[in-house]
Amino acid sequence: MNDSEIETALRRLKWCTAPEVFLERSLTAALKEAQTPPHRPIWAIPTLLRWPLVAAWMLIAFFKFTKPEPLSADQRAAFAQLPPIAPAVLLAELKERRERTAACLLDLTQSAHPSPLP
Amino acid sequence: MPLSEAEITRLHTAYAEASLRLAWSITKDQSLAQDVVQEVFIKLTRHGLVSPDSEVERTWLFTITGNTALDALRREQRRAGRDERWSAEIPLWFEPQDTAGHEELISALAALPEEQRTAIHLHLWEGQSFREIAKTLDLPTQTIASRYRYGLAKIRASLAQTSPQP
Repeated sequence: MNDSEIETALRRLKWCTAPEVFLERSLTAALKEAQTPPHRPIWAIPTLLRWPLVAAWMLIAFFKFTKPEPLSADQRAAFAQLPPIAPAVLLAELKERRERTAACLLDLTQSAHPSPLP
Repeated sequence: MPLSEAEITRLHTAYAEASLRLAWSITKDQSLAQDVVQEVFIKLTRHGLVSPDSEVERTWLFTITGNTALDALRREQRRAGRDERWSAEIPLWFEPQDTAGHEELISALAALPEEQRTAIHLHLWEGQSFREIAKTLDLPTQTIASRYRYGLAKIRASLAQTSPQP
């Protein structure tokens, strides 16, 4: 047999027709699919929510990466020894001490090197 | 865009049988081929694939059917681990005839590798040219022509083996 004879023999083969039951079932399934709302994948975010969510994620990332490192045990012990005092009062006290120290230093330098002027 | 009921019905009436034949030719299994066709039409419905050009529609349909059938076949073979049984199975997809060598011809066709059988199927029974088949399967035209020729040669060799000339 040559190629054209084989082609002719193959063309003579008749395909079985598709079962009616199957065709009906297949069409019904396709029509039913057309009536159901489109499947939304779980990762599909509505357009309105996209930018707020992006902003929220960026904020979370910002706080995650800029969060200060936790205090060491030594630092915590040192802070625990501090007197229970408000920061503003502490700052005022520090300022006053600094001024008093400066005044003492001035007195000392003036007494050690008295002015030649009467 | 989802299709209307009239469009789905038109597509189904026009192409369901052709889709089933191709799926059957690839999978060599009736129930698997039916599952494939159902999946193909659900895909068509979901993606709204229609064209004013019927040739384009046919090409789309054969492409989707071919890919879906191959996926289903590989999935089934992997799941069941029955490559041997699958390749040896003789499908009963043609109407019985009394002509001599009918069964041998079907067996020889069934024994071909899937890609050669698909090329022969689309050319002989769906009337596609090699160029159209190449477009459908996204392959060079020369490859399709080669697969077709090799397929015919294998059938010839198989028939010569089963009914040796005196």
